Amino acid sequence: MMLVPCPNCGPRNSSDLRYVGESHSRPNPNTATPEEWRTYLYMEDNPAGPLKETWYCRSGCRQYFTAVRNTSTNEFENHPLPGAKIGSVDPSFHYVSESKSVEGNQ
Amino acid sequence: MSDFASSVTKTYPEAADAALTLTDVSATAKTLIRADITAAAAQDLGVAFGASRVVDGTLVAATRPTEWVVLGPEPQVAAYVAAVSDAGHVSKVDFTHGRALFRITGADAAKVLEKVCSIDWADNMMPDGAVVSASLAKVTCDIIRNDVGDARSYFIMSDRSSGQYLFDAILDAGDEFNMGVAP
Ligand SMILES: [Zn+2]
Repeated sequence: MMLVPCPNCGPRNSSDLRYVGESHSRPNPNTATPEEWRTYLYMEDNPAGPLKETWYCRSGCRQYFTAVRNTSTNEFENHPLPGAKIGSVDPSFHYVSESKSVEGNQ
Repeated sequence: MSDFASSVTKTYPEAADAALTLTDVSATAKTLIRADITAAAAQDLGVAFGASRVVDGTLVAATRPTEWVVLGPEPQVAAYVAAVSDAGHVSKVDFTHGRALFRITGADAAKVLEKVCSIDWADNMMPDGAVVSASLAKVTCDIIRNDVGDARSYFIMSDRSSGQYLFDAILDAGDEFNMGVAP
């Protein structure tokens, strides 16, 4: 079992969440080249060490959040919501999210 | 709601006096409210994600950061929901027919739940009134601790389509604790 620290629900079994993937910034669709889109959609860094990822809390609060996981140890370093600056959020769990709900993304 | 038909259609021997009981209370009126947490409705509802409260004969539970469920007798639920502010981004949906709702009551209730769900049911993590959403026997459920007198008790709410399966799965998990089906 792997514990994933949801910022809303607290530590949860990873089976309660969906792994979305590595967190990359989305290119501007008006200016991105096909190569940039392909890199964004399909290419992964896959490091052995800290990796910024997106997770979806499908059985809990149904919010997306980003977290940094060490891929060598499965330890999570922090757990901000998407758009939040890493390291800027209250480290305590159970605060109320101000992010939008994610209806239709179950 | 006279025309309500529960998703639990099997019949079970009744054991109303069992120390640990499972009851199908799906006919309870249920209204879903979604609102931005900055909307007046969130203030009216008065509980943040993970908590519930009893108000005006209803149970108001915050099941997501921006979602609440109001449970209770139909007239009280309708009256309470109507009084919640509609200002801003607010939606209210009666989903009584869309959800299954069970109540599990007894000192061993948490022991049954921990067999089928990875949540920590200890009193300091999940006290009376606490609300959690989690996978229970692989079905996503909203679970509200709502003790009855001194007896530990939980509401378990799932999608209607999973109701019969979930009812049987909980009964199966409760078998070793002599769980009975109460009316
Ligand atoms: Zn969550």
